[in-house]
Amino acid sequence: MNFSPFFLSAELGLITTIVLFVMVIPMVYGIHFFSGKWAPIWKALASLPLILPPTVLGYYLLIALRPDGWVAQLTGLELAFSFEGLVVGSALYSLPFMLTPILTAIENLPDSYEEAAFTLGKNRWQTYTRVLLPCVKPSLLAASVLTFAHTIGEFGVILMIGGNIPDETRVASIAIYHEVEALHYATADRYALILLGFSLVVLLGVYGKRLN
Amino acid sequence: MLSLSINHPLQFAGSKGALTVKMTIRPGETLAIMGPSGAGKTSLLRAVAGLLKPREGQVTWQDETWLDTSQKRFLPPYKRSVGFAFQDYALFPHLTIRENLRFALAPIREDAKVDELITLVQLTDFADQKPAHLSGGQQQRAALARALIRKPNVLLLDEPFSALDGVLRHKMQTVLRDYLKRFQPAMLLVSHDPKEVARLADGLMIMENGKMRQMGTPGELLAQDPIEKLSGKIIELGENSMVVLTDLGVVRLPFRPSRGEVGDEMEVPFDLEKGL
Repeated sequence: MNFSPFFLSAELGLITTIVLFVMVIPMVYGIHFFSGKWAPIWKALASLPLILPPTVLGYYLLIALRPDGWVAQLTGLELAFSFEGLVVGSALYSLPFMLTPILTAIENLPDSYEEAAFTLGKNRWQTYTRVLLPCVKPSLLAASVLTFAHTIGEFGVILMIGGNIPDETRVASIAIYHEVEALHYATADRYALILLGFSLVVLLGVYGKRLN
Repeated sequence: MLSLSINHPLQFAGSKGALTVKMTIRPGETLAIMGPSGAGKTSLLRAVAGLLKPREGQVTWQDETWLDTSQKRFLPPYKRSVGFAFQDYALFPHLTIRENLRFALAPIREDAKVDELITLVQLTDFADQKPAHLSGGQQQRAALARALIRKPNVLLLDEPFSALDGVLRHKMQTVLRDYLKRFQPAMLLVSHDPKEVARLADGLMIMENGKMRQMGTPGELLAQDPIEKLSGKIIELGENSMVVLTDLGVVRLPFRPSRGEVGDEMEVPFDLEKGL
């Protein structure tokens, strides 16, 4: 059995999780402190991938990232059908899984925490990094684990912008599809079982942690 | 001198109104604020701290302008020299009591000052515990210490001793009185305890529906007010009423406390002239 699709999936999941974590921390800061009455618009935009069919997002990304697309024209980077393109697509598609749990946890903290920090001379960023984020540490962990797991399970977006290139874009979910198409059901079975087990372990980890 | 003149729309017990207050407090002076729940006492403290941005008005400390809506000037709370003891304590749950106090001084680390205040509020044995492991009274003392530690020019205390029993309350009032004498901040103290007000305050403002109803010295105003409080135990709780057993007998009150169960101690308003 070829394990390279799993290594590729793990690499994609890890990189996407790190990229999203780094992106979402300032995004939540901006939405929480500065968006005011516009907050619902930002939240809706960030949650769009939750309800948008993956093929729709994948299609728009393909148009943007293809060799003659506007991203290539602006930056010179050809991201379609490359691993880097998968990272861009995964980051967009998994954004709500990282952003929503952290933002919700921050918004559920009592207002008096940040007000107390303000009256102790700490500005918004200091309050955010030294009070609010440490108070929601379990949510940071849960958001990261869910993002990683969700990225591992992606299919539609990946297929649209990455295709099915061995060792480049053929991640585990695509490999299952590939094996089924080739009527290699035994291999597909094993791949599927591994992904199922992985998903269960991740969810047990998240909910077990919450129960604790 | 802390000088304040504000006007801000607010909701009072479901009806619309406005917080309209004008006052001055000199350094070293304490103004107590009393009044029924929802009178705007906490909102007034929040406006001074900059946690509430009044629609109209000015707030100045000495020659510093903290708020001037006519010039669109608003100094954010973290740039104002204030100490705020919140009614719900607002201690940071991920930090120990010692770390909560250090946080207030950071980036400067003055452990001697932290230890001195922890000793003053009698929390030496609990300094390395997180707030969740402390009782309400201990948390309240920690919150008071944290509000004092930066030696702010303006001290805003929202019922700072409400969770303390009589003896400890008296001790903490003494600590606060010594602190006021030493560092001379201007202080606004929200309280429901006439004895506390008489002991700590130079002036007393009675608020109602966001407005100042009376202003004077505690001696003048508390003598006029025939309402006292009597301790009792809740023996029955209805949907909008409760029955309380006091030393003077059983009394049915046409409201119920926001928190509390049968058997809990509570204070019953007692009119010196009319009785229960």
